[in-house]
Amino acid sequence: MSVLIGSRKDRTVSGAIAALDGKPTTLTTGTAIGILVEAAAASPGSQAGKRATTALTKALTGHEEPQVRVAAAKALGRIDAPAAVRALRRVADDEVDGQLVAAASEGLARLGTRADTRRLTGAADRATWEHAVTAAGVSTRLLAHRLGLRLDPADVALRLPGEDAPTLPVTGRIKARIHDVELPVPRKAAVPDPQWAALVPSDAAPVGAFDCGGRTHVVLATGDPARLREAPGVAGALLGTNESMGTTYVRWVVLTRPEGDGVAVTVARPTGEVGFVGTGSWGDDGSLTVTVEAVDAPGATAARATATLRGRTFTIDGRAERALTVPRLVPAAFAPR
Amino acid sequence: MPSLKQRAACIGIATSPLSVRRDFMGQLTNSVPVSVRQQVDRLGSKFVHVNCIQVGSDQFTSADFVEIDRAVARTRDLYAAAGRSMGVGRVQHFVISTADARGRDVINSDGEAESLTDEWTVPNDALDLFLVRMYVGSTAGLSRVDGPCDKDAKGMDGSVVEMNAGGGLSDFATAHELGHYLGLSHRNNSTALMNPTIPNGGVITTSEADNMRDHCRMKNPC
Repeated sequence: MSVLIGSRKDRTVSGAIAALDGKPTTLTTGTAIGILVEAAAASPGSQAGKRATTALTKALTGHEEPQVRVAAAKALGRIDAPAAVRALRRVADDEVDGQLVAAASEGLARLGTRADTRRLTGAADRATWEHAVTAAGVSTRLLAHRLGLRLDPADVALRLPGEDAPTLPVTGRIKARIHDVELPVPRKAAVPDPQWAALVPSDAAPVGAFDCGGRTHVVLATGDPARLREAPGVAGALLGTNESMGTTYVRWVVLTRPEGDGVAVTVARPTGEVGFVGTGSWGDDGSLTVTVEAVDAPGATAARATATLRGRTFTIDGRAERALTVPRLVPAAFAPR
Repeated sequence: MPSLKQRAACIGIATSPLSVRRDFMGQLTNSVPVSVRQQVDRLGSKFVHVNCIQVGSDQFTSADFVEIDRAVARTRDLYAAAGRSMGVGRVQHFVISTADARGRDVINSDGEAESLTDEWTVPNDALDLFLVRMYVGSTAGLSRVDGPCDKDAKGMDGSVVEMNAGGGLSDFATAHELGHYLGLSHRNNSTALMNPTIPNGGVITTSEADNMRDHCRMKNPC
């Protein structure tokens, strides 16, 4: 669940611009950027949308707070407008700040074109901060899947973080069954959040939901799985739910690429970290059956599941350990400066 | 009348040496007025321990530290004023550097907030409160309702809150998100702490307090 910030009076494009300019309002900077991006993404060609995009571009280049610049870059990555894409490309081409390069790369994975793969590869080569190198590589890969561009499977720069990690066998004594459940939200509400919607095929629709150890995932699947036979693609997404706000958000994207007679499957967070890998095969009736296993990563739980998509019908069955298999990371104790 | 050292020992704080403000009160600065006597008394009610985890810690400023202290103090006040009193016991501070956060210091979606709690935890008996300086969007935090107490359990095992230095809202947001984790859902009443709009009246009713006090993270009174 979440909290909403700010008065109704301030929750406008003008209020958000004022907040970014440092004027006293009831908005936080994060909320102000959120309001601007919502206005611009909803209607990029409108007067309000243009004002919002301009304000975000200004924050990207001129705000004194590094994290505000990063947040502005992430926000621009949601606005499908030439001005936003130009701003992100400038960052990817010229910026030395690794955090900004990483944020701009994420945006270009969602908004970019074929030509941006070269730009992102260049950004990865130029970046000195490890996360920026990773983010640019991840973005190149996601962009290729989004646009259906051919990949070189052996290219290490295109491997996602954790994709080559060993899988985790389900050996724990206490296991949970992975099984289909009713959709936890109305069908209309089962949509990707705007931040990551561009990574999910526009024809994707909810085909079911499943429970894995008390955590429910809503499954969005492409309406045209046959295209996954020909080129890398995004088969769909697994959504989490924010019950109080009635919203859903992308928890995992399901990436495929042709391999032999079937497909290689990678289930990754929209920021690129891989959770599951596996393979899929085609049925005579055009159905796609995939089997995936969890990979070794902080906070991972051993799991193995087989899912079938037949038209708009989705079924899944599998097993997972009930508790985490790999411990989470541990933050360091605070030391006063 | 219980002593400070007795209470400190009860909440698992080493009493020698003991920095009252830093260790017992969990404050990072000297800027926020706190009452040690009051805290000693409040530990006579049920209470919850909290781990404050700064995400992108190298970018936190002294103003952010004051904001964290204010959030802790306000949460203690709101919980103590609930229909049935509760406390916040041990507050310890942890850090995830910007490099280690790998982009999650600026949260851009609920999914990223969830990922943060999926990947990190402090292995102790306290509730993990992840503090970020930027949570982009119309909301300023995320928490599960009635979150788990087993840190080896799957799913979101902490709360995430935007720590907006100077905004004066993080304190209510902290109490609100921890309220979710301890079992509370949203309410429409504008005076309620669990009203989804911040700031609000900060009121926790008796039945809500009973609900929170029954949560497995709650400790018995000292």
